[in-house]
Amino acid sequence: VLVTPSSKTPLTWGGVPLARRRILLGIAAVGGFLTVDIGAVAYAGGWIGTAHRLTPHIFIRAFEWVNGKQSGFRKNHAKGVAVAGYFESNGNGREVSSAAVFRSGRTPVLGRFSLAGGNAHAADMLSTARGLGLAFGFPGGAQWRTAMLNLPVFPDSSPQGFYDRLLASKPSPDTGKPDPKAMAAFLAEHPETAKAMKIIGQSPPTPGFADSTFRSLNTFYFISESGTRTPVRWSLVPVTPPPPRNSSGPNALFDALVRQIRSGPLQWTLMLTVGAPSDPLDDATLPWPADRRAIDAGTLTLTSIETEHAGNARDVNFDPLVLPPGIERSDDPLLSPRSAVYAASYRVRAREPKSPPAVNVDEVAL
Amino acid sequence: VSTEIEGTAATAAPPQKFTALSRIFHWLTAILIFAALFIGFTMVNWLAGYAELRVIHMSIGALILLVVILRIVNRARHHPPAWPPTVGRLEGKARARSPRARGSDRALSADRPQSTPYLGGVVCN
Repeated sequence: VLVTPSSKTPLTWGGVPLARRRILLGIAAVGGFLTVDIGAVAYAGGWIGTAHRLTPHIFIRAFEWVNGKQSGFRKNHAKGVAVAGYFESNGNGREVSSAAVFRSGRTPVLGRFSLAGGNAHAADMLSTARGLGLAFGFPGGAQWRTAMLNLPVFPDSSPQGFYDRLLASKPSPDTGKPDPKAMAAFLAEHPETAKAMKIIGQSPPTPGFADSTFRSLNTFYFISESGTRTPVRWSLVPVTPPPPRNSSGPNALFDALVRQIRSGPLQWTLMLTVGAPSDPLDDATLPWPADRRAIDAGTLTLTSIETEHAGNARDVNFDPLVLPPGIERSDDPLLSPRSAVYAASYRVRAREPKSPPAVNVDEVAL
Repeated sequence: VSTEIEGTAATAAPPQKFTALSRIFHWLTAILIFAALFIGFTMVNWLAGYAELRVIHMSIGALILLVVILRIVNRARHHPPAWPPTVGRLEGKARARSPRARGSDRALSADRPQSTPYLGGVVCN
């Protein structure tokens, strides 16, 4: 229709004569550009070629497959409670890091205690890993966020290991426990996890959140004023844990924590363990030798506890790579995936309708 | 309105092409936006590269903001040329909304204030 060989008057567009060659060239140029661009975006966006690729969204789908739909909650560590307080630095941390948080003085802290697992209404169990997420200096510009566990080492050294363990841990509908065969097959394929589980088994969990030691597990580099890079793993060691409270029921651990904070602030010492270059710096399943020097950097004091709601820790993503100048990430292959999956979980839950959390501080009787 | 048409008709003929600076800004923006888009899609689907790409993605975003501000300044200081004759009817309607139409088709835009900056004009500039 545009150009026919028999037409007497050549077709023009805006006064410019149109030739078949020019039209084909134009279509080829535009088509080629779009093919390359849309193809690249489709591949990068995970719409094509994701059969054997782990993406953040595949983790989100796996959490949903294991735990069912948990609308509005974190996809892992779904059950939790918000806390707040401050960190009192003694200045000792400046030896290894120029971060403002290690200057003598107070930094406000916002945090969240949680239990591992994507079921927001799971019953508390002593054996479930306990999490503590902290945001130092929130909402300032140079924040330090961390998500720690009460474990001596992390069970996985790679995102693939975490993913495989997640799938193997799906509770069977008959027993409510993971299929032992699936777990055995997983451990046979991941000897690093079997070794880590042995180490974890050697230090049984304490009775509650308040007397738990929380650890960074991953290694980070602390940068001193003079530019020296020191590998560090940090931990929060309880100062004088309050006497355990007798609590029972599905929220026993959280109820005890609520009662303890109500009767007085809870305190932990921040210990910066300095690694040697020969230590495992990018494998969170391997512990460091017990004789490594640790710097007492100050005291974390948690003074208040609240039900999760908009405005407290509920809407904070405890991304382990939100680091202030003076702290940098290591080459641990878990760090970037943690950051990516946490962000994906945040994006998903932010647009889901919210439902009341299992832990309601106001419902805990004195 | 008619007096204004006569008034502007007396001014100098519109320039024939974009200034070198405008062209540099145009292609710089194109490269930056495509890079940010592509890196954005990649980073949210690549576990190992996420942390580094996010830093690059955010830096490009800040750079785009800076370039856009410079483009607005540049657009206010340089009058763009008329559209080429191959601009079609639908695009013609769009150009009537653009301050750039003043160069070739004054009747369509004579009722628009001369100095109104339009985002469309800035982006297509």
